[in-house]
Amino acid sequence: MNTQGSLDVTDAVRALSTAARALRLYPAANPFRQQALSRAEAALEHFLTIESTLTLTVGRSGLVWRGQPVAGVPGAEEMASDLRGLSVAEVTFLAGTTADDITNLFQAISRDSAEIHRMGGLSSVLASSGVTSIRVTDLQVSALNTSILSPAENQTYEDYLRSLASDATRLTSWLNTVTQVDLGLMEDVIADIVKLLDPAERAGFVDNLASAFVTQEQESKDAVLKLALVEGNAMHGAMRDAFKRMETSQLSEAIVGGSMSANMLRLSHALTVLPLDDAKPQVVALAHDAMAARGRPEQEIRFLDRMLERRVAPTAEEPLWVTDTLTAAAIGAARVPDQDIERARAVVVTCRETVRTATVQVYFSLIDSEEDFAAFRTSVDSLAAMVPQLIERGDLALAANALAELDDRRAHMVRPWPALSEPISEAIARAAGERAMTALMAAVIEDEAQVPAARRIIAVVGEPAIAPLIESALSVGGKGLEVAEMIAGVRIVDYLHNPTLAAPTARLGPLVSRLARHGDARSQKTIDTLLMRRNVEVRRAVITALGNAATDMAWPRLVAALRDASPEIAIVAAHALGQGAPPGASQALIARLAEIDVDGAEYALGREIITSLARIPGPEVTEALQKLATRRALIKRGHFADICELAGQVLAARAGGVR
Amino acid sequence: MSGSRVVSKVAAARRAIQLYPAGHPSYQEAIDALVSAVEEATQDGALVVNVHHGRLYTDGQQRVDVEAGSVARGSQLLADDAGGSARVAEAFEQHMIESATFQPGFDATDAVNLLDLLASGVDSSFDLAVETERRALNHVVLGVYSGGEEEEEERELRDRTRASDRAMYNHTRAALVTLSERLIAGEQPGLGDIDEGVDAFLNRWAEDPDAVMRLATIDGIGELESFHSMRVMVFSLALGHRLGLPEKQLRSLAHCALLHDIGKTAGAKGAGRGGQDHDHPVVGAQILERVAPSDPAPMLVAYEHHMYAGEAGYPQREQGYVTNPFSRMVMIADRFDTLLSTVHDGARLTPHQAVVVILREARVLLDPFLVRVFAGALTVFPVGTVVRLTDHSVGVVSGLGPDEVSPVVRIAFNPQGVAIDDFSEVQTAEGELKVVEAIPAELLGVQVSELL
Repeated sequence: MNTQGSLDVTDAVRALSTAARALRLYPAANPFRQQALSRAEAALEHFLTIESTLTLTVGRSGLVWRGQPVAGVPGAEEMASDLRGLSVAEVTFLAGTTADDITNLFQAISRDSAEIHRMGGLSSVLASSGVTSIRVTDLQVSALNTSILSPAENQTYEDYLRSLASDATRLTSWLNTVTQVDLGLMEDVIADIVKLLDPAERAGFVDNLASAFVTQEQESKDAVLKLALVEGNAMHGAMRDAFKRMETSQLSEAIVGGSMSANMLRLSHALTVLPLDDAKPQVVALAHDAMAARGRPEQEIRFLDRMLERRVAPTAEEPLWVTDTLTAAAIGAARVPDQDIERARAVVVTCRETVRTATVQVYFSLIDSEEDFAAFRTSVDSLAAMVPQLIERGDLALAANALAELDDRRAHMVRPWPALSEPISEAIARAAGERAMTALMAAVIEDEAQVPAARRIIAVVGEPAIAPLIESALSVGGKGLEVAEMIAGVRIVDYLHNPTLAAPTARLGPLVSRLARHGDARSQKTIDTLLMRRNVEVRRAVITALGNAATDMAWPRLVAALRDASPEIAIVAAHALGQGAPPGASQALIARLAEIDVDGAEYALGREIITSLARIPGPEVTEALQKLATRRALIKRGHFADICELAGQVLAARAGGVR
Repeated sequence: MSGSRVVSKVAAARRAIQLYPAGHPSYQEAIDALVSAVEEATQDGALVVNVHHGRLYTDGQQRVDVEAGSVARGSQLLADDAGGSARVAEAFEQHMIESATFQPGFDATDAVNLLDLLASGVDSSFDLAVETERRALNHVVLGVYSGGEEEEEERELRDRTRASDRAMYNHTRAALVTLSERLIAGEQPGLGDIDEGVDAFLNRWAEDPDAVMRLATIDGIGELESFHSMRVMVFSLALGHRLGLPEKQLRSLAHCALLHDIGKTAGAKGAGRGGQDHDHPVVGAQILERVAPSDPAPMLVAYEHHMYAGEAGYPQREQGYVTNPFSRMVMIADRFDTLLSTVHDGARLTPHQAVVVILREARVLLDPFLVRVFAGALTVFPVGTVVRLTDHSVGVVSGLGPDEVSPVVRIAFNPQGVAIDDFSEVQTAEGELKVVEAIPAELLGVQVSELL
């Protein structure tokens, strides 16, 4: 079964066998069943493109194709048995066999044999199902002369046996029939003949047996040989003598030409156990030649020799790991202590972390070796897309290296393509988008040791990184701008104006503070624009931020805010001036205090100004407070007394005591 | 030997009633001989003859529980040539008889009735209990074979599980082929179906590693190298599991293995270069950088899987370049599968030989330590190895045993070299049968995956 044709037929039978099993196991709609049927159809189609038909003969021990058993196919023997039960001798598949045809065949086979016989046999059943591409040849049982299997009327058993033994033609016919009907009967009759005959008669019988054997069809020969394989039974002994009457070539052909040579295991068993005696070396040699002539490879024949040797070895074989030093060595090498495996696992798990580093290297290998511009761009883009992942994983150093290497290629790469730097620049910019900068911000906030790597990233990416960086800084609030400045430097201020003007109130604080600290004309203008907004919340946030900034640029705006229409804003400004106590703050506060109705509607602002003045040293403050504390009035309206008392308390505190 | 004698007389009497009419001296003689043999055998008690897997066993005078269902310890096997025992066993099995208990008092009527029953036709309506009662067997108790249904159920379950495993295999392989085809067509496919397939393999491995290993015996031609990639995935998983990698890493490793040759299969139009063999790692990496961006490992492994130790292999790299462990693992699985298709001395290497060779190659080409672990995972008799056992029966390793030299073997050929259709597995760790040879499958004309 080593030619291509044999392989193809094996494939076809295997597919048919699988389909038969699927039909048995699964309902009609099951996909396994449909798949198996489709495969069977395809396998047959493939085979029938090579051969015009596929005819499988139903042998005694399985299916046979061109005289050779189809071996090694699970289920094939069962299929043969089912076909035999329906008295089918051959099944022929023609081109155009469909899955439906195959289904009809196997469904018919699975039916009760009596029913099939009543319907006129399998061929009739298939025809009535409309199957034209599968033809079935029925077994011609009637051709067998079964009457030869038992004594004729009025014939004794002994006479019957003698008639078989002494008549070569009759023995040939009997052997042909009995091998198809009942092997047990064959064995028994042969045994009885051997027992019955005297030596002289037996010699004639053996001649006839040899003659009958060599004229049999191969399947009959196989049946005889199968019995002759059983040491101790009558056929074994009878055939020992019969073999001696045959040509070794006939003997070899009988053994090699049938099921005994289905594989080298079986052939070696046959050649070992059959009673060949002195003929064995010659038969084995001829078997070699026959095998070679049939295209069996050299290695298979060597395997036969090896098996012939092993089967007669006087002692049991040792296991392979005992007899083969390579196997023993392999077993030893494969024994790895558990602790070593644990260490290796740790290494693999750890190295997994370096996958990205290695991947970056691979990207650059691809970029450097690429000869196609589109593929080059793809690699550059893919590497750029990896940068945010690296930053998110906290691997800022690797991300910085990747971008730096990319930038280096933008500057120095010599390739034949025009506008080489453009795709690299675009990729670098994409690499440092919002996702990357958000991750960058988070990484630095978590670990300030990442600042140098973050700076390298921003340095390589440049301007495109700043806006998303600021956006991410604003989104984290608090420390965000400070961190952004740590990473990108003071230049971030240039990018704050528009975001400041567009920022929601809640985000204004840090922006205004940063601009106030910067204090240049553009910053002042931005802040003044905000201070002109009608929205009280906005103005209050700006004034609060200016107070927090406590810069030269902030003070005049805080002084101005003392007169804001919103008392809340004026209070915030007064508080900030008191906290910062810049030059001129006391005068501004005192002046504003004099303007307002401290005892009435503007009591809250007055109280805040007094409290703020308390923090500012200077005689003008003391003087102003004393005036307030010592005011006299006939009618003390509103908060007159409260203001006097507050001013008195503040004076006492400034003098070092409490009144 | 009284058991053998009874069996031989049953065989002879069966022949006699076939050859002679009732009343013929030879007929009567055969019946008498059977009765006499049973009388002798049952002098000290009943004689039980069991049939098991086509062979007869007897327990002599010991009483055996017929309902026990299996051959009792200490029972004796009757030789196949013991006066036609094979035919008697066959007749017993045909008539669903698991055991025959011959009791003292067995007479000619019992003999005739027993032989008549054994000569009767068997069809789907045959019921041993009814037939026994109808024939009034007074001194023979026939045990009904009860294991058939159970065996049939087991067989069906086995078939269904096998079909399910194959469906999982086909689904994953189809996903890989489709991915390659879509890449060739210039599309940008996702890895959804591949992910699904990999997960299915990981889950199946957790249930039955041997079942997954058996899938690595499936071979085919064409189909964009998909069969090779599937095997490399299974072998890589074996190594990964042996190392005890966590599931997430096993999943990544499986992806790496499955996609390692994507540059070869989808390279023609899927990337900038042609699919030349030495280019495929680079082409594969280029493809995977687009297709699998979330996990860089497959791209890396595709790029590195031919970088052997030292400066061997390709693509070229700087001195001191260190490949990733995943790449080295897939490299081993890839190399092992390549060895399996290497023809040596007229036949492909057996899995056993491939293990031996890869351990030798490990010294110069591969990661020596990981190769040892790999060999330990597969053992020297990997699943799929065709082996000959001490009794000359031949089978395929279907699973690993409790130690590295004692696999589970599914018997394919009996000691006489006859192909066996029935399911029969041998635990070589438990009996006397040991592996004495590993045989290339083609020497026996078998396709290993069909036997598993």
